[in-house]
Amino acid sequence: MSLSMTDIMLWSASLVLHCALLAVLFLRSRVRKYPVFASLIGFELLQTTVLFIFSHRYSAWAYFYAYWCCAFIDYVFQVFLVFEIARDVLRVNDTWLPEMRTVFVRWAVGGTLLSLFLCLTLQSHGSSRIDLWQMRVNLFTSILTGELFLSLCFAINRLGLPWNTQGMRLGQGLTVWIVAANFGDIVYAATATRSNLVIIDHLRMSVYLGLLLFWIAVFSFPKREFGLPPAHQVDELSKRLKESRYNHR
Amino acid sequence: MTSLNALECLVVCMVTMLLWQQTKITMRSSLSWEELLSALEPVAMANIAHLALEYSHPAFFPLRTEVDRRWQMVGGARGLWKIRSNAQILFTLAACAEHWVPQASRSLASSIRGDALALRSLTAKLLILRILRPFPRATPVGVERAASLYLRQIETLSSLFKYGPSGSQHIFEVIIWHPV
Repeated sequence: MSLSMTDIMLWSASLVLHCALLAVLFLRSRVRKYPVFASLIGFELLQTTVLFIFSHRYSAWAYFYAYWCCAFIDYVFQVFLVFEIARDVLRVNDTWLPEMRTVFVRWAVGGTLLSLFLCLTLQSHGSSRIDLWQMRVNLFTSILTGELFLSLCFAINRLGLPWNTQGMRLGQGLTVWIVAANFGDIVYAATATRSNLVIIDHLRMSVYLGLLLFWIAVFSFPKREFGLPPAHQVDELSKRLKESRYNHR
Repeated sequence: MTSLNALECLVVCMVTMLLWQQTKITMRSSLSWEELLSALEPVAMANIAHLALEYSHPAFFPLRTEVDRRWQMVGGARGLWKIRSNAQILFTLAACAEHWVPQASRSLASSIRGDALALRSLTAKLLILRILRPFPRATPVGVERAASLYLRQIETLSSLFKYGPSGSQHIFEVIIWHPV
């Protein structure tokens, strides 16, 4: 299987960035707080290496199986990442907030059923059966991640929960990834040509590399929790607020 | 290709909502304590307390305030809207306070959440009824219930702030029990 120069560059960049992000997570001891995220990054690193070796040493069929196995595990990790983010924000003092169930579960189940129905009824002319199923699976998985994450955002906003900076940035990164994945899959399903698939893959990979850089930057800094300011600032703060209130009137 | 078009619509809707919800989260989470507390609007607290007592202790208040008068006492639609937006802030404050309260008082924080959700839907209903006026010259009933929910939220939050770091009780009383 031949690889273009762009492919090799993107792969090596992703290798370096995954290593860097994993190192930052370990050095900042964020692994215990976000175990699924850390495992996902570790798995991506492994996946990049394994797929590179398979593409060089083995047949196209072996690569095909390896690719789909990795894609499946990768997807399971993504779903668990959404639940990890949910645990980070919807669990206060080790207990899940009871109110989140209705919002989160209702939206997630409704969205999943709708996207499953639409994906199964999807038909594409001029593409083989295997391509059609690839299209369906890709679309369904990216929509499902989006739906789960969207229902989580609804729950957070409805319950007015404050979020620490790192958890929030993790969510923002995931949002960008979901948007890129969804648009990529929709464009592919609409055009359905091999050359487009390569361009979409390159664009998606570039977005992902940008995300890795963003996460490296976010996790390099210590996190800011939303708590009360220290006691000596509280008096000053209340004085200032009182003044501003009276001046306002 | 009908289902592809439906899928395209679904994806566009989902992405738009996702970006909107994320913007809301980012805006709320980046607020400092000062900004959060300054966003609390002054409301007619004495009137609200009166209406709330009247609602929760009917035996002591046999002569109830008239419906139109009640509406005026909370400051009309504008006052109700202020109560609604203040309740949102109290909600976020309760979520912060939840991190420092002991196990036994957790249910208090949870009850604020329940009250705030009820208050939000009640005020929305009242405001819509007022604007649409389906019944001519009728003032929506239920303002006293909104007042009682608001007062209960403030009282519960005040008890939660007792567990906070030193000075937090003070800041709470100065800012929230502001007289008008």
